[in-house]
Amino acid sequence: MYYKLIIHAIILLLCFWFQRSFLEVLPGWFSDTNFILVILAYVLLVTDMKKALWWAIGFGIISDVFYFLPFGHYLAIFIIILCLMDFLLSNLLTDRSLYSIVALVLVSTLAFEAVNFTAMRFYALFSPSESAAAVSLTYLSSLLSGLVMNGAATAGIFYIFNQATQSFKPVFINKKRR
Amino acid sequence: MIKIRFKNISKYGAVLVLLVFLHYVGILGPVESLVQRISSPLMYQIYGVGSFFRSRYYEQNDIAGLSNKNRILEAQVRALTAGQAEMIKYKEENERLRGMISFFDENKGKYLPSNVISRSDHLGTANDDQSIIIDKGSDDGLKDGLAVLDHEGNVVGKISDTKEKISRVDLLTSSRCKLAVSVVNAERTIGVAKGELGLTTRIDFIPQTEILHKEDLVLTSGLEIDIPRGLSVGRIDQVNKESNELWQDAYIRPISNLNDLSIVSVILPR
Repeated sequence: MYYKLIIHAIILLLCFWFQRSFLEVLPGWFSDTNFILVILAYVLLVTDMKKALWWAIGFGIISDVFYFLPFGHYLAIFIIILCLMDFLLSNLLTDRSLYSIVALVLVSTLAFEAVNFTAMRFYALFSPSESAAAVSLTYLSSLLSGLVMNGAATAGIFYIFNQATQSFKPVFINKKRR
Repeated sequence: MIKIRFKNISKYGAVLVLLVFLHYVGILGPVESLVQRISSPLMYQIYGVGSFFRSRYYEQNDIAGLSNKNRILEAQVRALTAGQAEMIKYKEENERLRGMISFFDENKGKYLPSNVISRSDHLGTANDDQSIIIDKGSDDGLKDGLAVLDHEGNVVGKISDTKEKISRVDLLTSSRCKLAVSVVNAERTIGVAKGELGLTTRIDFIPQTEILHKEDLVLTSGLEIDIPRGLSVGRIDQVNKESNELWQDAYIRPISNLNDLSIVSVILPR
């Protein structure tokens, strides 16, 4: 059991380091990718809500340690977004095809940005030195590029899963033309 | 029927509240420090890979302007070489005079080298890449407001937030970065340089009577606590002077390449 816990912790850290020190450093659209959200979606799909919540807590803690926002900001956001993902998977996007997973990640990204943006504006009320984000053309174009990159990352991981293992195929329905 | 799992959510909500409480009470502090200390060396290596791609991308975009830039730089080198002999003479004279009156060189300070481990200040779309994260924090004696230099000694920004083992540095082009500067011109114009739109740095509210020229050197003025004077910041790139305005303003081109930072130095308080 501890062995599995250590493996999960290492994979979680690697995913976070990849996001924080690699993706966010890249120029252009790549820096708008939210890889953590994509990973959370797949953890929810492959395991269950309980394990996914622990992953959300793990990502939340390490994000709060390495980002300079009030502690608990990302913890709360990841838990909220995961609950939304679970709701969508259980009630609307039930067929678990590539398209529903991409739709799940896109809706989650929009929800993440909405909650994040609102919280940042709230913090700016108490901290005059922090500049509040504004809904400008730059912000909207970054949001669009974030959606595109998250969708692309989702599709990429889907195909890697399908190539890497046969056992996922019954879960990921890929309708072929006859 | 719509399914909502309230039981699990409330349990994990309690975990969230507990973790936040433990953080603000200070119990989680050692764990956070340990995670930061373990992660920093690996994050620096990963950052190096990302930074390589970032540098190549900006170099490719700039190829068109490189030959023009090369011609300007060659002309500058020739002019600087001519002035170098005179500078050497002044330096020798300065050292003799300082020795005579035992003048304490207030520009000498302690520097703390740090590795850059990330850019951007928060996850998500609304982040800007006008901040860098370094692997030194309050445990190493850092605090808000300290100046950060590149490997050549040019100012790249100021520390805006610290944790135990990491700090956030707002770059000169960040709208959060404000630096007291002086221009090397006849009037020794002083002002506050503030980042604008993540692209440039501007000095506002310069009196109309002061004369600024393109390529005038901009240095730190020493009017801020903990930031010594005489550190190079940039050069004047554009002066906006309208006769019907009360003030003029000037845009500064940072000397340092802010897109290619991997090792920086923090000037420690005296």
